[in-house]
Amino acid sequence: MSAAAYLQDARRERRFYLSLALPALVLVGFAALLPVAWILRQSFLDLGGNFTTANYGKILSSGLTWSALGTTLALSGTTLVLCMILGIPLALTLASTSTRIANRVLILIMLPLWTSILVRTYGWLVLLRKDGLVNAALQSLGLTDAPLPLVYNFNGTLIGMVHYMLPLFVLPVYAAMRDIDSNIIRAAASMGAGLWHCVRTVILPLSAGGILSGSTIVFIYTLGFFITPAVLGGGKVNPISIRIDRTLSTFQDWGSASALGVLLLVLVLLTGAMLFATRWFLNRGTRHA
Amino acid sequence: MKRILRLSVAAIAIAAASPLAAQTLTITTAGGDYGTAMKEAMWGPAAAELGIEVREETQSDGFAALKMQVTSGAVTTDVIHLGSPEGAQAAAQGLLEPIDYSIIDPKSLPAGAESAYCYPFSSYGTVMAWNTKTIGEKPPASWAEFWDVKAFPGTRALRANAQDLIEIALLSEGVAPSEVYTVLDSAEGLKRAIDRLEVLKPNVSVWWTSGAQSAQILKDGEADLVVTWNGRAESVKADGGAANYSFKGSVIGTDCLAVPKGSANKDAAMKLIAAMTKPERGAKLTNYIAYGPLNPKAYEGGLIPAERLQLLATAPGNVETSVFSKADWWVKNGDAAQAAFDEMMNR
Amino acid sequence: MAITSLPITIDRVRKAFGTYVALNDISLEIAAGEFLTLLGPSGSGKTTLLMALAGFVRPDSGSLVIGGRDVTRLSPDKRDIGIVFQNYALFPHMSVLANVEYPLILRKVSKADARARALTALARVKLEGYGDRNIAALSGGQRQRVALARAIVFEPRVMLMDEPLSALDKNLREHMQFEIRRLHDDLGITTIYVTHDQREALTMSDRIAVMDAGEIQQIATPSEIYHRPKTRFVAEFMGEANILPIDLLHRDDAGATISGLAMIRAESFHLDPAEIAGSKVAVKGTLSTKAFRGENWLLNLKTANGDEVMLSVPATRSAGCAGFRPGQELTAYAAAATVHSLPEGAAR
Repeated sequence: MSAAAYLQDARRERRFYLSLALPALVLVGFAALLPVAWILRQSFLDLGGNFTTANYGKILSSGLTWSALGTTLALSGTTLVLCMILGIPLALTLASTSTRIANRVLILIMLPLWTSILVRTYGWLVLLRKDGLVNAALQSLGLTDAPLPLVYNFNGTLIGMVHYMLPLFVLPVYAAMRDIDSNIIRAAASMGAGLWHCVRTVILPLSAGGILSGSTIVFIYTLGFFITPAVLGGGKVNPISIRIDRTLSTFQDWGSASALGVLLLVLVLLTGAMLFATRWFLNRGTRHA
Repeated sequence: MKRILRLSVAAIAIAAASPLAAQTLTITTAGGDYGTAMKEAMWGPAAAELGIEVREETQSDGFAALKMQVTSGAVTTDVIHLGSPEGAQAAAQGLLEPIDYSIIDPKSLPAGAESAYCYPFSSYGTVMAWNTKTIGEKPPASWAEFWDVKAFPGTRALRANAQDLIEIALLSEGVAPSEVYTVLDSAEGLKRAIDRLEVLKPNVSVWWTSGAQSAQILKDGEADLVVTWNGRAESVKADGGAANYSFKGSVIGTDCLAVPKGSANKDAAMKLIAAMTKPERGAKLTNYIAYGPLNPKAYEGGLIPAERLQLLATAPGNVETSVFSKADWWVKNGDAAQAAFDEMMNR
Repeated sequence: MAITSLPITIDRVRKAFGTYVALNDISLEIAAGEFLTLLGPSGSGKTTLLMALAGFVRPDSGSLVIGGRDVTRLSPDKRDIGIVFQNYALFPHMSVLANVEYPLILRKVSKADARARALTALARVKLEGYGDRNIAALSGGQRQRVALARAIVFEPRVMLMDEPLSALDKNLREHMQFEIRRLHDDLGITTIYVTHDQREALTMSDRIAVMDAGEIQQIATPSEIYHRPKTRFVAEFMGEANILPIDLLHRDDAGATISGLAMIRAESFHLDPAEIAGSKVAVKGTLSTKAFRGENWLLNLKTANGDEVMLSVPATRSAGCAGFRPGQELTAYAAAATVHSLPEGAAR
């Protein structure tokens, strides 16, 4: 067989694999890109359908937009921090138990993911409301006199969001920790590293990729969260997503709502780019440091 | 020859049928229980009376459908069911024919409910509801008392929307129901209402966003005093919830019927609206759904049973202290009011 | 690097995983500065014993004493043991130098001092100038050297090595065997080395402990283990051994008294009796297979009563081997001194 024939074969093979990916690419194109393009277009149109940048002028000059932006970042950031505080030790514990036990616990952790977010969110409402289970328990134990405001506020929203995101954070972190060669940890211990040292100097650096993946999922996912703040926020927690809904449902202002959507998209892209850069830096670090 | 004859007979038959075909109207409703109720109580009997055929289309977003039909010049509906604010908005955008009050009796509407483009036919009230366990048998007697957090220290739940609330805020300051929109039209009127809401804000534990949510909050006792819609409050009460409500100072919102601009059957459509909103038909609607008719005559002569009457915002005894939400005002000032409200929430 | 090496006493250490007994009351004395190899097939318990010494496996009973101090219940990080793992277990996120400095930093050695000592250790394993390299950029042999440097840099009292060379190719492995032994001789650290490669064990060790089924089968010097195995298992594990009933051997002197089973290493056989001075034994059989392996010929004979006998004939005296045909009758001779009779009860 000639070199040209080999090349042709390689090309044919590439085309074959491309054709396998085609349905997914088409789906992604239609389901993801088209609506985004439509929103982008809509954000530059006035009510009469003429080109305008007024929608952006309007949302960027409104204090409501900036405070919604602040709320969005505060929610996502705090959710991420809580996921890290809760998720990293959890992943660590799971990774250090036998695979059999870890798999069972993982199923329990994943269980919430199989129920609809709406059901889970209302579940939290039942638990956290004034006459809910948590307040009833606290009061019957004599820990509090009056019901605590656990829901219809920022904290309640946070509880719902952390509950939703924790499994999605733990999975990649657990996978990364599981991947660490146990002999590496043994080696550190044999050289005199106690548990904390081992975690800090070996386990965390080696699972940084997983932690970053988990963080990316949590942060970007939560930037667009709507149901949880809508149900658990009691109207007092208003991130960009709620602002978009309000602009649409009470102002019927498609232009401004689209502009807000574009703003959210830019936020997601910026965060994605930042995390991507961090990952690149991390990888470079392990290659050359 | 024989064939030609047969053809011309067919042509005559078609020509004879066409005046009848002109009497086929299309009505667009929201569907669901409400749509069924309208068919059974209102346009079904009206069509039979007029001897015309009525076809029903259902649209969850009537306003969007209307706008599409009128702007594209393909108007297929003759009568459309809208919320009054939507109706006013549609009128402002030139999407509706004016209501022909030579066909429809202008006296069939109570004072304050008049509308040039969208004829109001049913109503609901935004009312004060409370938890009977915590508030007990002596609830606030007025919106002024609702604002009195010393006398009534419980938590409040209000809708996260300026609509109805700014009217209520003014009522709570002692503005007379008939003066509410006069005050709101004054330079400082809106600010006065918003400032009044801000006074209550620290005592509001939930700002609800859906009717179902407001009912849940009332039922769970999450808030002690809840501003909600009469239908929602009634269903919590009927389900045995520890809740009660009052029509005192309620803000009445209405649904209306309109004829799209460019409808081919404009006059027939006006006749259908007149016929389907006759007192007995509006009264019959309440058999199906707790939305009270607007026509004062529907409340006369025992058309609506007494126990059902108490549930309707527009019934005599309930309606006297009420404010009719003014759709025209909301179309003109809604965005500003909403923005001011949002900024108040944000402070 | 002056290291005070310490003796180790393993006293009746037992470890079971469920019903599987990995260590069956193992007792072992290792002298200070000794190089001891634990040799055995996989599943013999050698790695479990090593991990028990390191502290990663807690014995069910028995004690481990290092330099007079009972470490049985001591956590791994407090044992001061250098370990070299099979797959190197280097920290992939650190440079070579950072890997080697790691145990020193943990011991609060000053930065400058740690650097100096790490560089010395790297020099000792012939990796000068590699300090700034990334682990991923190193070859297998280089990684093994880094692992060695990291294990010796903090001057541990005991060194444990778990099949450290198994991932290397043959040439490099043989080279590293000498390097490790040289390093041991330089530093004098008490070393326990685990391998399943008997040649490696013979090459490197002061003593070899052959393990099987959670027990030590024999512990002795390499030569003793090779030539005078106590059991059939040890005999066969250590090299090409022929275990034959004594009465099969045709003796030319009537005086010697051996009975039962005898072991004769394949390389002890000669085809020409004239090459053997003194008393000798002979075994007759037909050639079944033959193979040329470069330095020797391997011949398999089948005796009249069905026993297999393997002969290894060095290439230097293999004239005629190439011409042998299967089925041909051959007689193999061995010096009587090379016939090792296995103790009674060692027939397993």
